[in-house]
Amino acid sequence: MAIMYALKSSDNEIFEVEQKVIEQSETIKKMIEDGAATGEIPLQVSSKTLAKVLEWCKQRQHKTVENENDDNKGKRKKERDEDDDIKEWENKFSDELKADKDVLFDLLLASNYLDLPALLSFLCQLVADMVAGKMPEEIRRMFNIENDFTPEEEKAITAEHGWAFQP
Amino acid sequence: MKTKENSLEDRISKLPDEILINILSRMTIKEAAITSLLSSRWRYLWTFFNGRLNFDDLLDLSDLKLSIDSCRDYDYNVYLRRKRLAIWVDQILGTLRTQTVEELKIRLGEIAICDVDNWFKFAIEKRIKRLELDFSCWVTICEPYPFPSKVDISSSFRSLTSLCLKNVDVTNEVVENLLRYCQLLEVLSLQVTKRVTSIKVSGPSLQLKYLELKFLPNLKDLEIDSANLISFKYAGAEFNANFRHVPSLVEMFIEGYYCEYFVHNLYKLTSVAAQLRTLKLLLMTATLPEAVLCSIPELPNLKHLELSILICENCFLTCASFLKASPSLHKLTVKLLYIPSVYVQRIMKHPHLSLRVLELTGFQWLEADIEFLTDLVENAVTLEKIIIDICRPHYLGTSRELLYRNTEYYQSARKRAVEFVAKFPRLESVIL
Repeated sequence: MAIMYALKSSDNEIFEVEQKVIEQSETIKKMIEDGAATGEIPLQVSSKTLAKVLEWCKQRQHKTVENENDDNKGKRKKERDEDDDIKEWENKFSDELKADKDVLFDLLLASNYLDLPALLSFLCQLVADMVAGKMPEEIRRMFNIENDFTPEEEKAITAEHGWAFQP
Repeated sequence: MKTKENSLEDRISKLPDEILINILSRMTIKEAAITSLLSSRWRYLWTFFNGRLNFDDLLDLSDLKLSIDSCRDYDYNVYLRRKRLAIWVDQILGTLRTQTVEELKIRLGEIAICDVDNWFKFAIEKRIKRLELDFSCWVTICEPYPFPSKVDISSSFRSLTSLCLKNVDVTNEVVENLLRYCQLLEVLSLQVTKRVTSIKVSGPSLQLKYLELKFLPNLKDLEIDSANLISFKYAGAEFNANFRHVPSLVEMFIEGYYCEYFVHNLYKLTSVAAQLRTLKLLLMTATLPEAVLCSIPELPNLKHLELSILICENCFLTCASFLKASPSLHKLTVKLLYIPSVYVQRIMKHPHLSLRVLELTGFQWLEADIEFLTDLVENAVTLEKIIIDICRPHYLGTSRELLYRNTEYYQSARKRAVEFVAKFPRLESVIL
């Protein structure tokens, strides 16, 4: 029987999760090891975000378990198909986040707080890909960033980093 | 209502510095620097960039214009572009305030205008993990940059995992010290360096996995005693290579004049040959008599063999002899840079039990080619797939490729290839 833990979100919703799944979070792993995790584990993460975090963790867990169970026979083809499946899943996951940036940023903060290096790295890459190759005005529009520079300041920065704007 | 409000909020700027720097460090330095214009919050964040710095003067040899006049213009334009790049590199390296940087890669073929000592200083200060300096110039032959003598290797490159130097002149002593003191070093590539005469790769804590030596004209002796070495690549003249203890070595790429010598002497390397999984050979003008080809030792673990052949009278016999020696071969790649005219011997008597994939580049599908390939395909009973590209291998990726693909000559060769493949409906085929 798998050991289950109860996670409590900041809005008091309870999530029952397998130990293996949740131990991907270094923060929770430490809490469990320190014995601080008896009963419910309270987390500073909303239920909406936590559900998303767990969706990611379960997918990752699924992936590692299947790889362990593989024997060599027919492994190559299977691996290739699995890689495609994971890619597809990740693409869908990314598209949802790109469509709802609030969830994206909540998830970024949660992955940082829960110390989930793989998720943090995935999300940072996602944002990096959204920003890369765009001009400042486009990036501001995408993320509602307010330009608080005076025209003079802006001119000075452009002059200083002129090289960045050359093709 | 709430979602509407939320979506107008600037959430990204409220992320902690450490996450924003993580995001910026995944872009190019140029893309990261542009964010300094977003708002005051972003003004200096990019200066903590710790990702990959990649500066390349983007010169492609194949784009060289060949007339003298345009060459002069070209030279001058290239010079200006390189000069701008050199200034740019110094500006950026001077601005970055991070403690560590993952990677520094500079490809710039004009050493005279560069402050290379300063780049080394930067690499040491920022505890660079991967350093690549490529000063090979395409237009003219230029003197190599001497490895800075002031650098104390014993204390400087503790974090280095990968080092690639092209047209940087190192001495025997520098190489010895790099191998002794850079204990995390996994990749070492030295190309175009004149002063090295002898290299000894050994040491109890050596982590080296990939060793590449290309165009070291004065290298006479190489001795490798390295438990972790996986891959060895060599291009250049004949030299003495002594593989003393290389239990992990599974991959070898050999090119240049040494390649002929390598095949001639492969029979002396039976234990190394027995563990190889990938072997790529580029034969220049090779004379490989039948006696030599018969002496090729068994390659029982070889999965992928790539033969690129410039000029070799026994071209098809060479392919056949290697096939015969490699009972586990999964994939055979043959790249022809010339047009062989005869296929005399019927040498495909033995079935090649494991061959699954056959990749052929540069075949013109003339009579001799077709005879050889018919023989090969009929005997390779396990063959599943054949991949054909008529284009000459040395045109691929250059501006000549497209021109060549539009010639009538190419089209008729392609037609012959299609006809050939049609004779073997059991095969999956890709014809480019």
